[in-house]
Amino acid sequence: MKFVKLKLKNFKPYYVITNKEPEISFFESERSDKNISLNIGPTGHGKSSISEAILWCFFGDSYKRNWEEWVNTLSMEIAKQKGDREVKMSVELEIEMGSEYYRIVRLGEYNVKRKEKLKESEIHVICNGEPVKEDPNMFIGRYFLPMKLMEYFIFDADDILKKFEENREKTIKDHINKIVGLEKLDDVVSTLERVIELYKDGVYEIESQIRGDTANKIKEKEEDIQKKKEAVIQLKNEIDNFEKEKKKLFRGGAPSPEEERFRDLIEERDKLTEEIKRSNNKLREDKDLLSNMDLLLLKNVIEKAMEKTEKKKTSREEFENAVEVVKSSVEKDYSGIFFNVEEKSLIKSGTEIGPDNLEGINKLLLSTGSGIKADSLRIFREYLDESKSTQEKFLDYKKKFDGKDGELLKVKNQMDLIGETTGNKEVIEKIKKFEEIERKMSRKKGNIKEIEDKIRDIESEINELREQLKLENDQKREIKEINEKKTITQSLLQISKETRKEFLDFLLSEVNKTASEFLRNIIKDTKRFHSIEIDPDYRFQLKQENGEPLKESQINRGNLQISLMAFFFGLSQFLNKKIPYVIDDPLLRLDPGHDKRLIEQLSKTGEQLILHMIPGKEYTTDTFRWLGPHINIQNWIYRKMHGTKELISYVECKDAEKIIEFDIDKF
Amino acid sequence: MMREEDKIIRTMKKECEKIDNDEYFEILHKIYRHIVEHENQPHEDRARSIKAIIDEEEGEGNNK
Repeated sequence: MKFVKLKLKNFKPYYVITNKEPEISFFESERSDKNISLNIGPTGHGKSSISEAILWCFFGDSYKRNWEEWVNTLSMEIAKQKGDREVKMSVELEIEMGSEYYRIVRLGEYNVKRKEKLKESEIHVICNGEPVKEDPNMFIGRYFLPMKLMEYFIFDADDILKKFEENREKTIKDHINKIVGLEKLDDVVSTLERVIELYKDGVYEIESQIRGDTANKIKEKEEDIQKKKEAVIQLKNEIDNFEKEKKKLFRGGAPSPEEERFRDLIEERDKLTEEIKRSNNKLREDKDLLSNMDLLLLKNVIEKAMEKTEKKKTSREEFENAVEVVKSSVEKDYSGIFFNVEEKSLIKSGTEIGPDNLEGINKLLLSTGSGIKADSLRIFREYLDESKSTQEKFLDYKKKFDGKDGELLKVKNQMDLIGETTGNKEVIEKIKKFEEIERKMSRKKGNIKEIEDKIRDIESEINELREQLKLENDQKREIKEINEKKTITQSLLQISKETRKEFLDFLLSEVNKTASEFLRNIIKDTKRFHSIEIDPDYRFQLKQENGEPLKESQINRGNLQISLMAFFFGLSQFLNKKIPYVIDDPLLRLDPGHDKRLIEQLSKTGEQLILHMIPGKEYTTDTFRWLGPHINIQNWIYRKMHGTKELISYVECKDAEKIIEFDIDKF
Repeated sequence: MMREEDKIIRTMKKECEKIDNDEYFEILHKIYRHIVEHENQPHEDRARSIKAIIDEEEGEGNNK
């Protein structure tokens, strides 16, 4: 593969003058046996911009996004002056690949006012004059490398030295990881470690839901049921025993109807006897009460009437009226009771009512005189009527009571018929015992029911627990499955680590071998500069022939730069891509002889070498002496003023076979 | 031309062969491809995607 030509339009210092894009030729086919292209120019003239233009052409914004730096300053100034909104820029790289000739064109538009790109840059790939059917980015991917890996083919020798000096291990690690895709393996490792954590979290979450003692609880409850069932059996046995006892008491297992009838009669007799006893007592009391009924009723009437009237005032006339009312009423309804007005007392059959009642009547007489006569009379008569009703009720009771005497007599007669013998007394005892047994049996049956209800409750709880246990068993199976996956993931992690180690070992052995050989072919002091060794911890060491590492003080910057280029060379060779090398300042600070051998080594790959060199420093008459026969083309890059202040770069292609003198005026 | 990923995958295969487990290689290969193809996926999302690959592969393995 050969980079043939680069055309730049408004990219960095390359400004289009008179519609002619600056062109940089890298390869002349008539000198195809020579594979070195030189771009000569002092620092800041646009050499590095050539490398950047190639990378932007391939990768666009994936390379870098600093459009502001890329767009030519002069073109922006002119656009502003003209009032143009945008500046168009482009880079075109022509490539020869076997019999095919490709043009890769990258186009960009930059908004001058807003200082931002107008749109995404475009890429076109033209093969032998026809646009390729393949996606241009796919084309780049197929023939070249990802952008980050292109730095091992297109790089600045001075930069790699500076970066290395800033942080040795990190720089080496970054390069190695980047170049062999170990970053991806590291990602695999860290991701698998996280996946293992996720599985652990999953197990923990399920475990926290499992109670763990469900099986024991079921067992405990089953044992409880067993005990309760045994208790039921025990109770049933006891009931059976009671049944047997009952049968012992009565052949048929229960008293006969005659025996029960006898028992009932006895009970009824006892009950009636007791009732008669109580009734007799009451009757006696009631008879006493009845004998004084009329007085008591009167007393009752007077007391109630007094309650109604005692607070009312009266005159003498009213008092006499009231006396007349009471007197007429008493005489009319209770003929046996007389009212003695002179003595102000009630007399019944010549017997005087007690002083308390007399006092009450007197109060009544005084009070009933108050108000209207008709009212007193009405109240008095109302209570008389009520007393009559009470008297009737009592008479009814007495009548009923007299009936009980008759009932008692009937029972006694029946008992006399049955006869109260010793045998009958035993039957009564047996019946009592029988009933006691019945009560006990009833209690036991109640206990059984209670226990059986409890058993049903526990069985229901056990069913729930069994459901829970089933769920827990499912969860345990799930945990088992997750743990199996975790184990697999751990194995995958282990394999990834082993792969990483194996691959790193393989890579380091290859890179160390290539780089060491490269180094020994450049620095002839092979006793001291014998090998490059990068260990798995990314330590970069230069070793002597005896295996001892060189101390830092024993390595000058030129030799360190060669070592790092050897390392880069080892990496690029490992990538096994046939791509031209584009190297900035490859010979700067190299000792005489080293520069020549470095180029020889790079040339051995057979790939095109595009070298940017500083005249007077890297590129001198001496350099030309050994480099001249290999030069395919030499471009001299100048800068000049455009207008009053802006500098622009331009390229002059010189005779490759002639040493060009350093012309200070040109710079 | 052998891409660096291919070299890694080959080494991976060798490592799986050491323990005589082709299934592991298949899973690991898928994982690796996923990571290569989803370079910018956030770590946690990536872990979940990889877990899904393992779950799926393992699920298939169990169904075989």
